Amino acid sequence: MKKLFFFSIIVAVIVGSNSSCKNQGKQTGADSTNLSLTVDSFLASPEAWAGKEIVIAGTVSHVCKHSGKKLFLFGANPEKTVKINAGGNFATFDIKYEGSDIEITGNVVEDEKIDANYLNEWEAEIKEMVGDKDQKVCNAENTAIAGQTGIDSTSAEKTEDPYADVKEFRNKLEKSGKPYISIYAINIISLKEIKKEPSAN
Amino acid sequence: MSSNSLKVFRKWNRILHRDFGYFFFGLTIIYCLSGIALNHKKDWNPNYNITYKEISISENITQSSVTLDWVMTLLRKYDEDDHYKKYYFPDKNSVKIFIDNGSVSIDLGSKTGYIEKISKRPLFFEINFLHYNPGRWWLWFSDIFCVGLIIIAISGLFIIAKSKNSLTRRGVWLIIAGLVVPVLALFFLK
Repeated sequence: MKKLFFFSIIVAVIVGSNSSCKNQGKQTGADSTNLSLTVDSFLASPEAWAGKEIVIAGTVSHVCKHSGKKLFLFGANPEKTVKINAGGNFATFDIKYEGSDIEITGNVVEDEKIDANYLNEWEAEIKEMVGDKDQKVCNAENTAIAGQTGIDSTSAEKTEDPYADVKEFRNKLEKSGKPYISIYAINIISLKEIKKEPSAN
Repeated sequence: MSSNSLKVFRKWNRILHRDFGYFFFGLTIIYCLSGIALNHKKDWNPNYNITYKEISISENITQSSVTLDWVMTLLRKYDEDDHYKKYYFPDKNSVKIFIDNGSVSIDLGSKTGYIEKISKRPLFFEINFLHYNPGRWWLWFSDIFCVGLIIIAISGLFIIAKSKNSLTRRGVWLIIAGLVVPVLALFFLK
């Protein structure tokens, strides 16, 4: 009986905490706007959606294979992507979503502050990458950041210079007169796969 | 403490240590294995096996001439046509074709590319998934697990009755030795 006593306490605590959390998971903000957007319309002015709950649809260009904690969506222009962060009921994203059309409901948050330190680290990463030609590098995050700030990271002349994006960011930061540039992402609440017949683009 | 209450304390301490130890055995192994796996994320991918196969295309091709037929012909050559999902152009000079459990990336300029195939690492994928706190109730359960580990650690100090191996003799030195490493880490790494 004594032994069972301890297990009863443990089970009771788990059940109790579970039932108290069920309601929290279903809550949505009272000021939720639930607007449906394309990736391109979101990226036109991401700061306008900051703090709001939105619905956004697009194709998954990349799922982070190391942590599974983020995926990237593109719309009509594949060169511009938005980052979706895992969390809540989505601890990680399944790799099967790569190449799939999905609809995300989530909260828009300021995800990154691009400042001088960030650019220095980015530059160091590129240096490492340039040194190891065989390395298959995950550049999805930087593409998303560049796309959001209107930097074209894929132009022919830039493929010649791996540091071109960093240089352009430095110029942009200097011109803005601010200590950093905000980059927005979406913290997921729910995900729906849109099933379509196989096709291009 | 009277000898009777000391006896009662030792009895309940043993029960706590033993039963919490049994109950959290599985979870301890899960968290330790995934902890090691995730610690070395820079050296390997703890969730997926990823393989690359270098490929090349013989013809000169531009973005505008890439069609679904061309993509399917290319995939057929590598027995991947049944796995086709979608293709798109990540930039002006390349095409990426999504297939089930992977993708094909081709640089149209150099006419080279690679097939990336991904499969979940058995066992590690599942235990790492648990390590990432999937869902609120698991978060609470893992908190309880941490409290359980603290209880196991503290009760472990008092398992051995007064002897040369008890807490106040052998135990205290080993505790100090174990704390030296984190203290040194704080001193040198901070």
